[in-house]
Amino acid sequence: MNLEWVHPTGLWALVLPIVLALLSLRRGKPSSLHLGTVRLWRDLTGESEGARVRRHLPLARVLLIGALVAGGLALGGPRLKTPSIQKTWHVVLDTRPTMFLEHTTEEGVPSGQGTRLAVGLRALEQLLQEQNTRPALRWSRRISGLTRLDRIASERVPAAFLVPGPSGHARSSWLALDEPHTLWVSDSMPPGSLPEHAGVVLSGGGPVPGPVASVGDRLLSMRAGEWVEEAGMPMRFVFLDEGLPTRLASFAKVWAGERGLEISDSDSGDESLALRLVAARAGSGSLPVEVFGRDGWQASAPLVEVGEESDSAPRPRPWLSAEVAGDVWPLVSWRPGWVRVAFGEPFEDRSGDPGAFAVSWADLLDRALLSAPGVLPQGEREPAGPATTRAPRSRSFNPEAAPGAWPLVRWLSAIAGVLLFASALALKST
Amino acid sequence: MPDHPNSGSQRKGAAARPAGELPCPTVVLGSEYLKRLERLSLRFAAGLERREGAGRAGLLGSGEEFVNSRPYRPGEDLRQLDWDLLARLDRPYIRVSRREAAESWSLWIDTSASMGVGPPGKLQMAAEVAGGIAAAGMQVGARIELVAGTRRFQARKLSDIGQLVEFLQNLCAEGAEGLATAVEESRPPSQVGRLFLIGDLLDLEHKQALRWRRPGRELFWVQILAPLELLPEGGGRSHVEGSTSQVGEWVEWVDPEGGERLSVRLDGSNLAAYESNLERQLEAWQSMAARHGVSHGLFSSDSPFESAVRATLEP
Repeated sequence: MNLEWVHPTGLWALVLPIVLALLSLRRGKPSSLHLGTVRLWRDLTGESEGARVRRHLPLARVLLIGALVAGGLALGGPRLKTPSIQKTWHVVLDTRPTMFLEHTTEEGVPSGQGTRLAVGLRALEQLLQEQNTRPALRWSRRISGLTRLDRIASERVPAAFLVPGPSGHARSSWLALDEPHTLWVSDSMPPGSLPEHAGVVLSGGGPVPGPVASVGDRLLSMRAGEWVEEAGMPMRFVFLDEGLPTRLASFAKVWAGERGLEISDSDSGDESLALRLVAARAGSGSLPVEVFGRDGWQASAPLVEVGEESDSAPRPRPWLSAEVAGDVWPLVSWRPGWVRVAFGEPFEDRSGDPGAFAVSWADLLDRALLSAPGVLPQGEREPAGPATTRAPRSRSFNPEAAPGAWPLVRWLSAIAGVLLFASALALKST
Repeated sequence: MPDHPNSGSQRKGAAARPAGELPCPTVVLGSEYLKRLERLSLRFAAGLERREGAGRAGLLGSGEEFVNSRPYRPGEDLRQLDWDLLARLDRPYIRVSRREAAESWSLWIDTSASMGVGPPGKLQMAAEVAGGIAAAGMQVGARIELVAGTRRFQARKLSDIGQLVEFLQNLCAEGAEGLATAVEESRPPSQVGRLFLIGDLLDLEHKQALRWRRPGRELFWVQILAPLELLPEGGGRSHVEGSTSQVGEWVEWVDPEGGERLSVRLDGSNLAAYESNLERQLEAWQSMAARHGVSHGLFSSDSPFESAVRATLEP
């Protein structure tokens, strides 16, 4: 049996039963006594000359020694040794923009340790060095509330992971990644219950000062615990594609004006572009006209069928769909900084409630609007709490047999108890 | 003139067992013993005076009753000549009175290895008892002869008591030859009026113990056993090296003379059976002694020697 001892010093307790056994054997050796009446005893027992000398230990003492041995072994903390083959840890790296903020103390003062990500990666390296055998690593990342299971094999964090994901996404539970040999690297514990199998490396950190919102050329920042409004932000633009239905383009212009954004008719692709509102191009042939809507508005328009989305860019999320001949056609899809519309003119509003249409579309455009450079939501600049490091459970770890079940130590303790009880009974009976 | 304690010839026989292995092979008689011995002999002297004053026979026998004859030695009282024998055999013989015969005491002490069993050692007790009897005898004018294995010692005067004690102190329990061998190979002088066999009598057959019985001679069997052999008080708590062994423990008995080893468990049934065996043996000795007019006393080696001496001489 491949055993290892958690508390090898506890094995010193085995000295006690060994000493007791030796003493008992010494005492248990029949006393050799000279006797003038041996003949009478021989007549009695019928044993012949040279009867075998026997050593006898009382049953109670044998049981007691057994109990002490079991107890001593239990004190040593035996457990089945995991094979010493190299383990592979699956490291899931949080790439929220907050991970790329400077690590600060509780007072919000820079700690001088670099970003939260750097602090987390250093803690990870230390954890790796503490292992008997340095595990191999495979890297995946959390982006915008989703997990990209890249599983890139690398000793160090892949360079591609050192890019902050889009901000503004509420954190969600990581429990889907709660597996043995899995390690979560973030700044604070994700929402939800604590992982049972996965380990965590949390950089922690205090509040991070900086801009949390922008309107036009003005910035709203949190500095030293106070709100500060600053001017001088470069103007940002919204690109409106030509093929957009007129009614939608008109609304987008009003919405951009309200947000302090300018309208651009060219897709420059630079940082000044806060949102691109594009229209899907229709192929040849007639387009099916369908009625569609959401959030209390309804309209009809000819629909454009779009093909499969490429995997290179972040996959767009559907916002509005319609069923055409049994198939679901995405009519409006979006991702941060980008909205695509797959219907055209003539666009007819059938709900008769322009307010519902405006509220619904303003919500979509707000969600898709990119933050100004350096601007992060207040939630991402909040304190991350204390740093925490915990190694993941090994794959041999059996949750059914862990705390509530019977590992070796418990078996030995139980055996010790039973033997002790039996010893007491044997002693009483004698 | 007493013999030197070391006098006597070495007997042939079974290989002697090393005395060092026995728990109590030797005899130690200190100054305290001498004091006790003196008190005991004075007690017998006082008792003697009381009995003679009252006209009764005591330790000295019954007076002028002639019980035997022996060859005349020059210088002896011619009034004691046995004229009948002189006339018949034409050789002078002296009539031996019962009183004179009784005044010759012979004490035979078993010094075989089994007497080294104890504690307290049986040989120690035997030596103390022998000393007490001898002192009492000398107090009343008896001629004393002590025989222990190959060693002999003779004394008559009380001033010999120191040498007697020295003789006893030099005794050692060893070998396999005890009283049985002595009875087979030796013979006490015919004038011995009182003959004491002192030992555990374990190697002695009844017939052997009676072999030295003859008219006009009193025979005493002083049987000494160790507490370990008697299993006194409760049966199960036998004495083991000064402590007690527990009921149910295993003990390896060793025969001091044959070297036989026997492992037995001291449980209740075994102990009861042993006690029963021993009781039968002792009862046989007692009934044999009663049948043949022998004085028999059984003593534990841990009892005071004075009580054994008194019980022997003042039945």
